[in-house]
Amino acid sequence: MASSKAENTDLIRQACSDPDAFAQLYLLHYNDVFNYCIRRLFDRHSAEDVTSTVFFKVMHNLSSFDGKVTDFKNWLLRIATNAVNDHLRNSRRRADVIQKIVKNTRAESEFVIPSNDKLLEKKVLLKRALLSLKPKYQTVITLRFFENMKLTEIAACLGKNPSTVRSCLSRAITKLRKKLNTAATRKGG
Amino acid sequence: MNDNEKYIEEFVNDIPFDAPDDEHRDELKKQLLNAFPKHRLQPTIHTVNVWRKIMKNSITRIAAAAVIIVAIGLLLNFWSDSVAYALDQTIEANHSVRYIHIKEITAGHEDEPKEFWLESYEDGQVKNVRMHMPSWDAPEDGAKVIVWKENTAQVWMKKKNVLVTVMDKAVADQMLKLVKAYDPRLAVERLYKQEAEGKVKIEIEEPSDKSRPIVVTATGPSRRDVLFVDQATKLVTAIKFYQLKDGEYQYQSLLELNGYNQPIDAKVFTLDEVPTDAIRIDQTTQEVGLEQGNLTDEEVAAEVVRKFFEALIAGNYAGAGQLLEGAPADFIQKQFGQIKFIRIISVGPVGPHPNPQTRGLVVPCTVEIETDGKIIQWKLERIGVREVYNQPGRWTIFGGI
Repeated sequence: MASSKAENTDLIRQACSDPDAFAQLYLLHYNDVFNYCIRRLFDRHSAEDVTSTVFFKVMHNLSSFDGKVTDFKNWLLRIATNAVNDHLRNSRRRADVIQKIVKNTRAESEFVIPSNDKLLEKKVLLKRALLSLKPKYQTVITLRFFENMKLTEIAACLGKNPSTVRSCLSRAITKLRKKLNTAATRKGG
Repeated sequence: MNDNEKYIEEFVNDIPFDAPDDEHRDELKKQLLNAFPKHRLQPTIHTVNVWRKIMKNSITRIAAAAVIIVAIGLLLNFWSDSVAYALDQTIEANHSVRYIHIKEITAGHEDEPKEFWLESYEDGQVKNVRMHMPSWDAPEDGAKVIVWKENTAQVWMKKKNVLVTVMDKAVADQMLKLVKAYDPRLAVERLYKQEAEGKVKIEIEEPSDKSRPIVVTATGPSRRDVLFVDQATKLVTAIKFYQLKDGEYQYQSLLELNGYNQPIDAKVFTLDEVPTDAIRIDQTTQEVGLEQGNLTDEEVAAEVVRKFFEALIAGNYAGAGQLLEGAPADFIQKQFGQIKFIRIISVGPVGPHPNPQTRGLVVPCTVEIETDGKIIQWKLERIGVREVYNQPGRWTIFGGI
């Protein structure tokens, strides 16, 4: 696990032309990409589809990556962000996602974690609220609260100005809280 | 962390998500390996040869990178309370600077300092700026001279012989931030405020020789600023910056503050040195690039490239120029007129730009062209496309093809 930066740099370079190295690189980062996607899409099948898209894009574009090894995860997350946003931008697909949420949540509450209804309830609220935001707001929320990134790291990941990200994040948080409050009130009322 | 942020953090805490599935991971691995590009196993000799051929035919890289990234390498942490709030020009500027010339000498680049000349209105708002940005700051662009006035910046890139005019507010904000933090008359006063708040510790060395400056050393948790104050005028004339690394304060840069409130010749704020044969790209008088509309970023990037080559095929050089940072038609014709573009073979797949600082995407493209009486395929693997600087929602090719 504690591979050195030099080893990782070599691995990225080798992965451009060596399938075994690419497989190794893929296995190192599969979980990161899937975890990001599932937190954006709230649906296993969609997350797996998008994860596949991401790694195919990585495979085709890896030779164009010439950043530092520390930039690699950011590069991956940026590809994942674009792929997730593309997935969500299709409005029909978006509607399906929201519908699936309702169905899957029921399934989850019965089969996955039956012992913690409160958390599942919160998850439903979060899914609905988050997915109703614009993709750019979903992106910064996920990077900030699930990837635990700092403002400057989000900016580097998205290739945006930190001040732009700051205002986007601030708007996203305000909107999300408002939606969560509204949803909770409705449920309570 | 504000209240809303805390609320969200607590809300999302412990929410369960599905874990990655080994079966999907292994299946995807198989698919990827089956699809692994076979040509990658051998060097891409064909592409290289085509590229060399094209280069011989004088299709040179076009240079029109217009983004102004003025990295003022100063560390403003000490002064965060004073300068971190919005620095919009509409806010009254709380500094005493009407004119100043600032030179920033960075460790390791002593021969090529950054320089800034600034003129403010009486109310402190920025009126005129001139900046000299050295080549080491952006090697691809080379050294840049930027002249800013009334929200318009002219960027002169000597190496590329290009003058780009863009709408810009960032330069004024950056200059305001700079003078608010290092106002020669108020800098020490601000420092004392920081000391009262327990953020820094100040030591003062006042030599009895009045020709030597007073040295004010402010040390914080991770950095140290050393201010040199003229004993006669009580103005800060220079600041040395140190950063704590490996247990010791290491020198980073020197800021020289010259000509405090001595009027600067108006000529300094003009770009008379630009030669008449320079390529002039004015993005303030035309709509540059392509409107995004409902397209995704990747779709619009591909569309820009497609339309660029369609314009070249049709001999529409003005149209092609509009999609290449707004370059003038005669320049595009000079660059591409001798090549016959026949058809577009493929565009995409679109990927992220290898340099995230460009905030762009890369669109590979293959076109069929006729050159030296032969029809060949021209593979362009790194056409960069991004949003037009300060024209959100419009996309352009940047940095040449």
